[in-house]
Amino acid sequence: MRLSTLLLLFVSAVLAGQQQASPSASYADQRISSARQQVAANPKDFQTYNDLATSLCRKARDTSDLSLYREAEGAVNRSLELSPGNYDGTKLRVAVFLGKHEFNPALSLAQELNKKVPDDIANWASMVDANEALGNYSEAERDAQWILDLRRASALGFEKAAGLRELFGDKEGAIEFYGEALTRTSQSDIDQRSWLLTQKARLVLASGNAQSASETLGEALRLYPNSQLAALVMADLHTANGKHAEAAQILEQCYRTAPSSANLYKWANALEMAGQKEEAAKQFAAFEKQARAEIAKPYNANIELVDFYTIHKSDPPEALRIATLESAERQDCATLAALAWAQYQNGKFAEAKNTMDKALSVGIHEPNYNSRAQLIAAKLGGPK
Amino acid sequence: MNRIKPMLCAVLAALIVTPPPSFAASHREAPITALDHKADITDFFAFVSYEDPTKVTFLLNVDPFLEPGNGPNYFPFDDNVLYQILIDNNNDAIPDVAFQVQFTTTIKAPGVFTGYVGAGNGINAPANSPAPVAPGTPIVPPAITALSGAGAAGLSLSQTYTVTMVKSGTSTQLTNSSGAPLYAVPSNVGPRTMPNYPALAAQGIYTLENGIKVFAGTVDDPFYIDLGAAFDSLNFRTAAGGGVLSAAADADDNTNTAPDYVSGFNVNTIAIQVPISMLTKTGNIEAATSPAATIGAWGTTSRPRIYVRRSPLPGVASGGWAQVQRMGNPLINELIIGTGSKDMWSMSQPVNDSQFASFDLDPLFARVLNAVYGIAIPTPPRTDLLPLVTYAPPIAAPGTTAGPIADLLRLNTGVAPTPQGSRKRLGLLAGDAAGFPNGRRVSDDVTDIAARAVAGILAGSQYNYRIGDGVNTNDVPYQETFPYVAWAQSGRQRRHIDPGEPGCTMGAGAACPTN
Repeated sequence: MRLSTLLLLFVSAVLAGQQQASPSASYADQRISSARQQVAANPKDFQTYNDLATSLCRKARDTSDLSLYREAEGAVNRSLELSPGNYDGTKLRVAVFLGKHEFNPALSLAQELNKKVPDDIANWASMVDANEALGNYSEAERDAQWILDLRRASALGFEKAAGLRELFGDKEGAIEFYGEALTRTSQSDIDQRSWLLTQKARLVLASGNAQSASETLGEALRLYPNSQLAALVMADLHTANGKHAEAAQILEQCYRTAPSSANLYKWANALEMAGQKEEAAKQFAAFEKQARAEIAKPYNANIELVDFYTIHKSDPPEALRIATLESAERQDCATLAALAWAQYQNGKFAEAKNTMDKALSVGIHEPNYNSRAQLIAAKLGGPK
Repeated sequence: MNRIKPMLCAVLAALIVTPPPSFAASHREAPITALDHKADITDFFAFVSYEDPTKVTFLLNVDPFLEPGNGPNYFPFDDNVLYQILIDNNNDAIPDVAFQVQFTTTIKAPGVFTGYVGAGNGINAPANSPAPVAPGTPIVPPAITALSGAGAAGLSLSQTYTVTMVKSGTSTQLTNSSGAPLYAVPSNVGPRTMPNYPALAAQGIYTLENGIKVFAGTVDDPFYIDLGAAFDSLNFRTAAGGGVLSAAADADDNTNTAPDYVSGFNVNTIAIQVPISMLTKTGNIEAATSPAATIGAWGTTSRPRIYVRRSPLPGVASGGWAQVQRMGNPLINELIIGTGSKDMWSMSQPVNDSQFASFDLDPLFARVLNAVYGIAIPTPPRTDLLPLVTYAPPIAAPGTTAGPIADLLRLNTGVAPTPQGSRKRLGLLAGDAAGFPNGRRVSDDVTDIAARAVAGILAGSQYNYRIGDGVNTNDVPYQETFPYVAWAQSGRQRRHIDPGEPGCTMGAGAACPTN
């Protein structure tokens, strides 16, 4: 048995064991619980609400659970009621906007804060996040570079730059920077260290090194056994190793913990790949219903819906309608790639090529985009 | 297809803990430099050279509060910092002439536990030396009497440096007329190790091409201030009038009525003396009445930049430097710029200083003076402060193009240096035309001048309040020749003159007041 397989089994066992154990043992949950107690004890202290919102956002970052962001939003609102305009509360409002994928308001508010306190790199980081999500890559790079210039040894600067390096097609450079961020992150900041390790593992896996990815993911899970993000990467690792049933099992757990449309779609896909056609069809149907209800909302699964209507349920016009709607809100490379794919599926090959060229112009190396770009090019007589 | 990475919500962890605003000069004034001492510019000086009015001397002081006895490594310059002195000569706040200084450190005796060691003619192993070191084996090298070669055996930690002039887009490395490397002068360890420190330090003065002189090394910090009182929310000593000096105390440039908190501390300096003809846009020495006579100068420190993108991807930038700090006038970042913007200011270019205009036009520090002392201050917008950040009289000649708002230390190179006996610590405010804010000399009392400027003296004599900290002179005498600062204080003999200690003025006279 290869080492990577052994490691995978070990990591899976840790993951499964922890998910069956009491989730309340997680650091994130402990922090939320403690913050709630503080709010109960000091209901007039705005800072306790900020602390609660912070702990909720920290957990939501791992799970992408919208309900946590909604609860964080409530805490932020209360904080700002008690102390109007308080700086931490306003920064948390930006974080909540980002978490809810309300990127334009997030960007506006972050810019406002940045104008007031230009030396606070957290505001620059929020601007990087918002600009990146909106597809404003030049602005995102400018702001990330400023963080690196302003606080050259900051973990946050390396973390933001790592994300951009990945977008620019430099996975190796991104791995390097996540490593730099890790060395600069306190040993006691356990979930942040786990988050960074998970990002590294995801990129290492995407670079084709499953064994190294297993090892890194194992480190992440040892730090934060309940991490949903690590579980998602674990599912990818299983998929890469052809273990689709195991991947489906993990993804089901993820969906049960954080019932987002994106998680549901991943689970349905894994079921299909595992040969569980009937269950897959059931979950795809559930996904369609759930995701359609979110089409017009900022936090949606529109890209997954485009995929769904072009791969699992042939309805290219609907895919194009949704992709067009989404691209009116955001011009990031993933949205543009989805739009290009929908255009292609509707026979709009020249438009598809233009859109895909724009999506790939940032430099991203994503196998799925590349293969679709080749299909589009082939229709226009280009090389396959 | 998860299109975005989960968003960072840990942003609050990056909240910056900022120190309180400093009072004057620039010792650790901004968060970024409070964490990066080696790149921290403490002071920047530019003045027409006392003994040679055809040349201007610039001093870029870095690395604050060097305790002279703090071995074993003392205070080398940082090899990874680019130190620059920049000069604008056409009023656009963009450098036209630059002097770039970079250091290289060598450890010649890596097995020795300290950077500098020596005594007399050397000390050998005694008769009872245990094996395997035989009696008579050299143990301690001779005292350090030279920066290189004979007499430098004990100088294990050695630094050389290069000086590059950039002018009209051309970089020229300036070389020593003797062809030998340029050595930085080490700190004054003490009389056993460095028995004739002044002679040793003087070896660090080099004459380069075109008559340019340079010196780099550890020296006495020429700045003086009652820092403890200033930081204690302007809690100045009673003997110093509680922050508003008596007429007699204000008029006495040679007596301190408060302790100099920088006494006994060293600083690292880069000094360069340049012919005026190499600095003005006409290439000539201009009369004070000429609009071409006034230059703007500032110092910067920079570190190698880390880039988002790596080479050789498209759109890559590689190499290059990220500016850590800059300094022109000694008061702008300290007294005017809000703490949450200080690093932004430090890293920005002077030509873009209009972005900080809101701080200039209603400085909080003026309101603090108003609140603490009850003095009247000018009504905002404080356009009276603009002459400090543009080319304007009384520094520049009438008719000089004002240029953009920019923090540069402006120097009218046509104004002759004031003889030592006539020099006033309050510079231009006291009618000494060659003093700050017309350039800045090492002896100028920029603490008092800056505070008075912020209080409104430039808006009219009704705002002249004799604000001062009571420290009117340095703890040791300055030199009258290049590099003008006093040599480094001895690690073994140094003295900080604290509250209650005798000798408040240069170690002599009355005791320093406590309250």
